[in-house]
Amino acid sequence: MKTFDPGRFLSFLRFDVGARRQEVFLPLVVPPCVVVLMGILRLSSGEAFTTWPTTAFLMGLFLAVGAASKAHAAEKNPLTAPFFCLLPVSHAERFVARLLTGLALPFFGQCFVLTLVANLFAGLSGLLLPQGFGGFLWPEFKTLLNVGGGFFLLHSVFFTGGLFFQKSTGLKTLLCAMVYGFVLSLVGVFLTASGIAERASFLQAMGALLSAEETGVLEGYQTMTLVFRLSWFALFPLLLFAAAAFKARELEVRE
Amino acid sequence: MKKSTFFLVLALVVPALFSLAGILVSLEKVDFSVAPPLEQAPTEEDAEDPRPQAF
Repeated sequence: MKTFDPGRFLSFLRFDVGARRQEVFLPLVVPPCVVVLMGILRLSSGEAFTTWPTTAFLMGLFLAVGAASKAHAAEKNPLTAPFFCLLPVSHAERFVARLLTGLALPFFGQCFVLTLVANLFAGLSGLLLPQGFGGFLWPEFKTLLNVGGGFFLLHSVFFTGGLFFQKSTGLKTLLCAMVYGFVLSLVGVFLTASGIAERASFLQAMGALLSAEETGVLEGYQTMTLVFRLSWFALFPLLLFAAAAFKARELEVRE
Repeated sequence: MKKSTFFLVLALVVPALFSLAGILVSLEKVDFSVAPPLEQAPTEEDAEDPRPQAF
């Protein structure tokens, strides 16, 4: 059997979206509905619609992160597991399909749908209000990059947690992530207290890391930022996805 | 050790070590004397704040 066959992959993708349509389409339906509601309220109160709805976008991404922990629920349910595991589809196809429906579709799909709805209301503002049409509304590239990095990180955490835990996957993953963050903070505090990082406190370095972008006065700041961002927004999610891929394979072999 | 566990441990340890090493290495180059204050220093107005103090 070939590892990746486009036709088989598309067929499984169609089947998987149909089987999990509520989780897949919720992030694409709820935020635009919120924007429509807000748009109607704004227009009825005489305010123009002039900004791209970043808050609704974030809300949709949180829904997608919640759904990520349940992406492999069908393989774990004793009633549906035999059926899902006997589908003529490879591990790679199954994994890529889950990533597409959980990661790429909520992000890019929401960008598209929210831009459509926001511009619809921007146009209506131009027609109905005396202020006129304020111009097309687009998401800012920097906002998309920052939000996308955070979503990539959170999705990888909950997607992997959904595979490693059996029940209450979202809650257990959240608890584990909190414990992990707490342990890392403790390590930072320990380093500061033990004098290893006595040149400046660990927390001060973290503060400089987060605040120096606006001021740009710190020499050596770029190295720190680059290493920090690459570690947490690229390396960490990629390693988690690798762990998730192997775990998914192990689950199917065991079943 | 299973491959999934190995990669999970790698994911938990390697980025933490990298960011820690990045911070420690860069600390030598960072001049904190020109860094912006992390907290706003109290002003004279704050010192003369007439609000009652908490017990």
